[in-house]
Amino acid sequence: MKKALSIILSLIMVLSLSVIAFAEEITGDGSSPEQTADSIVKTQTVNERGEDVTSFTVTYPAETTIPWGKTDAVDVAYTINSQLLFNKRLKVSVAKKDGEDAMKGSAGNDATLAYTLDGDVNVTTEEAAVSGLSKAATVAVAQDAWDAAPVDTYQSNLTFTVEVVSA
Amino acid sequence: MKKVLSLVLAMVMVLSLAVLAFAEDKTLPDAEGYTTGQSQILTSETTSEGKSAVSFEVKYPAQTTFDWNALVADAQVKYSAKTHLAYGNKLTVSVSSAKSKMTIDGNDKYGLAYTLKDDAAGSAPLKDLVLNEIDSAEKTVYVDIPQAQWDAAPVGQYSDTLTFTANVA
Repeated sequence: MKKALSIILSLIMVLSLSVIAFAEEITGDGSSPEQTADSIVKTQTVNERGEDVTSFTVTYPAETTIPWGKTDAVDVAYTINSQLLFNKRLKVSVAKKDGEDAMKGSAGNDATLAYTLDGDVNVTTEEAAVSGLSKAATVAVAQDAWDAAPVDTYQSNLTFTVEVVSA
Repeated sequence: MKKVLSLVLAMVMVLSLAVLAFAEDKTLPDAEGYTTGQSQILTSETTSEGKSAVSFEVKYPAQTTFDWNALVADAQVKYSAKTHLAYGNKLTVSVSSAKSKMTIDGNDKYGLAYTLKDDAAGSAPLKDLVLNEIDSAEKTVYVDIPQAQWDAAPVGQYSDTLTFTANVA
């Protein structure tokens, strides 16, 4: 009984080791001088360490300063790089931070500075892989808003949201 | 016991080998999802040309002529001021007279002594004009030349200088 069990286990191990070695083979019986068979080569979507290789970066300014009184739109430029699965796209949206409809002055200053956010505020890449795609949201303050605000440093935050979406 | 252990060890070995066999079928983690970041926008207190955004103006007459014998209600010097200052600042405009006496070409032999007042009745001394950060106002300075001064002075063209001082603080 012991012998039989040892043999069975040994066979299981040997056959298991053979899975890779004997995945494909070409056999011939001499009737044909040439035999052909295909061997598939394919890439993986993970690297050698098994890590997901899809990646993206969106580079945007930590801070954008607007000169006092400037009514022309000011660019908040950002750059997109992505290498995603073929059927994915990168969606970048820029919005006023929740609860910050206007720029606020320094402590004690109750005045606010209204502004509009426009330009490239909703961008979806046309390809899965893009390199150095330049976009710009724009911030504009109207003359009326400048006129009504005491001179101060007013500030607010823009929220960049980056999503991987299906094409 | 040994049989069971042998069986378990064999199965562990087999399953370990199977990991390699099925590695290429591993499904990538779905990258669906989102991430966010903040970008700060802020205003400068200088313009695009690098000039201070703070501004104010005080407009006053270069010259004001009173009729002979004009009393306080009719001897007025009007000026205006407008501000766009930094948060928390105020503009103070004060008006003072050089000699408190109008003379003919600076000759002190004859003169019209006067005081500056805040009202047409001449009852209140002149006060400073104070404006907030964003403000505008007009103010009248009443020049009080008592009747006795007119009566004692030879007719002529008397003059003095008023100094306007604007201070932001």
